[in-house]
Amino acid sequence: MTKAYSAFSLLCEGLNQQQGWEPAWRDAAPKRAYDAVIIGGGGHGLATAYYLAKNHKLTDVAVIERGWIGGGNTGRNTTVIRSNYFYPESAAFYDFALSLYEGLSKDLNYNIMFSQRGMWTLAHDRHGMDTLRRSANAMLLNGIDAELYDEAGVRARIPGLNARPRFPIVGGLVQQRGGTARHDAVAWGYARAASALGVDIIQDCEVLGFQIEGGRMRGVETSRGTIRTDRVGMAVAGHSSVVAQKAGVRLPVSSYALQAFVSEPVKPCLDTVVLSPAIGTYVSQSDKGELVMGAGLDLYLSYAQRGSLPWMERAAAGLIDLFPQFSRLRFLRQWAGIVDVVHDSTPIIDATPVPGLWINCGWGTGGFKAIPAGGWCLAHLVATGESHPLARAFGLNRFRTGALIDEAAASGIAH
Amino acid sequence: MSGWRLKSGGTIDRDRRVRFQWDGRSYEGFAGDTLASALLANGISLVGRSFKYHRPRGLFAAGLEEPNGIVQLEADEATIPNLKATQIELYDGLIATPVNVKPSLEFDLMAANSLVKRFIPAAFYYKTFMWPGWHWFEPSIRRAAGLGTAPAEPDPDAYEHRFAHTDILVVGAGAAGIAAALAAAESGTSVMLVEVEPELGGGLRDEKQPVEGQSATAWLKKATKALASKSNVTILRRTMAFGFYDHGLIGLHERIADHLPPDQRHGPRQRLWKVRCGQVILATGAFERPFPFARNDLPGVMLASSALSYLSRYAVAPGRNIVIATNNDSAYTVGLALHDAGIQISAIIDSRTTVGACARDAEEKAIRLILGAAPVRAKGRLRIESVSFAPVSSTTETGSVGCDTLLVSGGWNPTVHLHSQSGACAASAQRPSRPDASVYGRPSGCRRSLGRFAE
Amino acid sequence: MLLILCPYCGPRAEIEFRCGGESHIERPGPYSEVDDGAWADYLFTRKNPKGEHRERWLHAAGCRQWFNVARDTVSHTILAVYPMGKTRPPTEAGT
Ligand SMILES: Cc1cc2nc3c(=O)[nH]c(=O)nc-3n(C[C@H](O)[C@H](O)[C@H](O)COP(=O)(O)OP(=O)(O)OC[C@H]3O[C@@H](n4cnc5c(N)ncnc54)[C@H](O)[C@@H]3O)c2cc1C
Ligand SMILES: [Zn+2]
Repeated sequence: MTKAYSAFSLLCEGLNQQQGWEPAWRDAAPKRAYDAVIIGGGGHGLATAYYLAKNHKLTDVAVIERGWIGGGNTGRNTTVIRSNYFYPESAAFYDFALSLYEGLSKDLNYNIMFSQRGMWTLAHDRHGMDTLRRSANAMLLNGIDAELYDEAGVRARIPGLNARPRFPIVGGLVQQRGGTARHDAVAWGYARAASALGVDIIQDCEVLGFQIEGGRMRGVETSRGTIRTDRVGMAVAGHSSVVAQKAGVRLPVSSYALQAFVSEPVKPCLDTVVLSPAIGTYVSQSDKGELVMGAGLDLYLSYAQRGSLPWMERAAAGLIDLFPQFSRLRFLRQWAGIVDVVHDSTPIIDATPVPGLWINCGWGTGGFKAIPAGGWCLAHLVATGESHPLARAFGLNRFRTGALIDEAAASGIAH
Repeated sequence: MSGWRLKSGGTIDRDRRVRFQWDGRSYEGFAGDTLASALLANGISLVGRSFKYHRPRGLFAAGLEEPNGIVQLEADEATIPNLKATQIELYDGLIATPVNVKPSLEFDLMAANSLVKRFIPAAFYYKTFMWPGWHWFEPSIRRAAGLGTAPAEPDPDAYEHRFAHTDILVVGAGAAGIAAALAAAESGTSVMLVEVEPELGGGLRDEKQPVEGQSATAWLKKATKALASKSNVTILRRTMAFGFYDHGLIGLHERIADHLPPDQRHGPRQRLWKVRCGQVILATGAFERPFPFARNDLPGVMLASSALSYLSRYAVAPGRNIVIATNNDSAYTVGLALHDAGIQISAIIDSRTTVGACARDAEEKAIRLILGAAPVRAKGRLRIESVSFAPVSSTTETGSVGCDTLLVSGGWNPTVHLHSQSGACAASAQRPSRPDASVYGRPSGCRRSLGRFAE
Repeated sequence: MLLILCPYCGPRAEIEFRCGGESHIERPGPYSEVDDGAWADYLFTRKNPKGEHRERWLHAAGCRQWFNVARDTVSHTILAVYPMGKTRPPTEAGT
């Protein structure tokens, strides 16, 4: 059986009619009890299981996924990775995630195609430029790479920008270490590596309720039977309120639909990620050649993974204002994911009022970039009962003390 | 030898010759052709290469479902990548080129990927390129990916938005859609009928059986005239319903000027419609299913119903020596129509062991029937030369037939895309469909579409 | 795109409106007796249900009036529209 992935194993299996590959992960059936259960087979849940096994040697662990792994936001996002946050707490956390991403393909032995092609934020007026300058300074103070350019500098580095846009381009901020990765590969890579360490990946299994005895977590009730466990970590993104409510926990979370679109595949025409907060669009080109675009939230509660027409129009209009030559391309696909928005756009990684239940949520529109760190810190919580130093500021208590970390205001829209 | 133009028939205008360029060479077609039908008529069967292994690919269908005939239209700032040759209406001076081939369609260097394909199986890229780092490999993989080329200059054309409200919107103007629109129009409500093709009719355009006692063509003409005479009916041709959003909102994409030669285009090129509808009737028909067998992507393999469309619309025969592989009756109609047009049908391979009346019709015309068998492998280099078959229950080849064209019919899939996208569930009662939508004709699983309207 | 029945103007497209979030949240009081927990709840904790939701909408690009809507967050079907200050009328799903 071929376990490790490499050019050499591809060569051997090529000669062996591809007969020796093992499934990337074991499709496990639920056991009656585990040391720990992680709810949600998105990036955060799978990474949590992997780091529980790897960092904490806790391998009697199950990941329970209602549908298929990566079928939630992890497989629906626009794959932008960056750490250009404003406050020191967020900057440290997201930069840790980025640094884990930098070594992740080798760590997981799975090519997640992390492509550090740079992430640009454009400014269209003097005030926008002031904001970028403030961001750049904050980033540099936090030890994160940042480069600020005027219009000529931007145009020299992003060929093809509209010469006469409706909103003039006056400058831009770039984080060169930012970029994109293949989203499904992140889910599959973590699943494979966790499974290899002994974690059970259980798909098509929905958590329907909890067994709380004497006020403490004792197990989960699922569509495939009851599973006893004293430790439950949940990372269910847009369904956080729904699942938490089954344990009697209420959250400061709202679920909204966020859309993405991709064009048909074309030859390379855009070599970086471009975001314009003012225009409400961002775009990159995937390795397959599709232009990948995102837009804003439909700002009313939704659990329908559909998306709507107004944002599609706005995103297309924004793209064409930045790159008018793309107006003859056509959208190939469109979809939406349900994102978990909290008031300050900062995640929650914390214990809940129910002992034995820990939570990871509040990623809103930008938790893909955080997956390695989100999993690392939730694993730390589940294994030790203590918050990881990097996540100490991301508690539920901040809503009571007022110590919000308002990245929504400080670093503009997420992604 | 491959396709050619028949002496008579079709709805093309033989008095108006149209000149066009394909892959750097000049050809002629007729007004009313699509690029695909004109290519076939000129004997061209190789139109593209597959994405990864660059396997040769030919035209497989005749309409919007075409997977292979993906081309780059025009040049410079007016270029459009990745259009389907089956959806491009021919105009004088049209220039089209194949995509993603180097240096040429016939001799494509990237086809070397085929030689090493055993080392690059599906998803191989997740298993390698990790050392020394992905960025060592990514640029060349990016260059190999992508189909056509995006324009580099701003778009010279203008576009338009429009809002509309209608009581009833009918998507698809085949028999079911036309009958629905007619019935709805009778009651005086406002009706919009949208059709992605330039002509109304859908499958009726190729129908050989009489409809309500008259020929399908005559029925279609009368119905179209009746619809056009009604002031409460709006008909949009070349218009695709691309999205079914909340509370009866449909997005339409209308191609206004794409079919005209550039010097005759005035006003907007395309229009985006946002239509709020009381009721949406999905009469989107069905697509024929292909058959799985080895090398079923060789040029010369085509959907049976598409061959019928090429014959009845454009008087184009897809080949000179045809074999049909089917599991249902519909492909027999195609075989008989081609036979009647003087084209040789060498065999019909049918996976069923007992076949009804249609088999007798075929036998009457001395067409060889191979029953209880299915195709196993297509052979040929740039075009199919023969197909081998085996009993359905095994894969041991029991025979082989020479051919230059293999028509396949694996049954029909209802076109439920809009229905599903709207949040309704196509094949299950778990999720009820929406109150603002109903489905007629083939998507509802009902073959006798006209009958339903009598109800 | 939702079609929302403004009680004052009639049916209008979603893009004319702003959603103001969950309805019927009562401000705790009196001030001197409200602890931080209750205040945090009031400000931040939300029902966020999968199913029927009572929410406030503003006809921002129209009459600029606020009103209440009962809406299903999965199908987006609007179950009821009722004025501000009114209690919830029963709907089929009924909460
Ligand atoms: C369109 C779009 C674009 C985005 N773009 C970016 C971007 O560019 N960059 C970025 O950093 N982030 C982006 N995001 C955000 C990012 O995708 C998410 O924050 C991240 O993927 C969240 O990961 P997760 O593991 O928490 O959630 P998910 O991947 O959603 O996983 C949660 C899982 O929980 C499962 N689940 C739910 N309920 C139950 C239950 N009862 N029982 C069992 N399982 C259950 C779900 O099925 C799901 O698979 C985007 C999101 C969207 C929707
Ligand atoms: Zn109003």
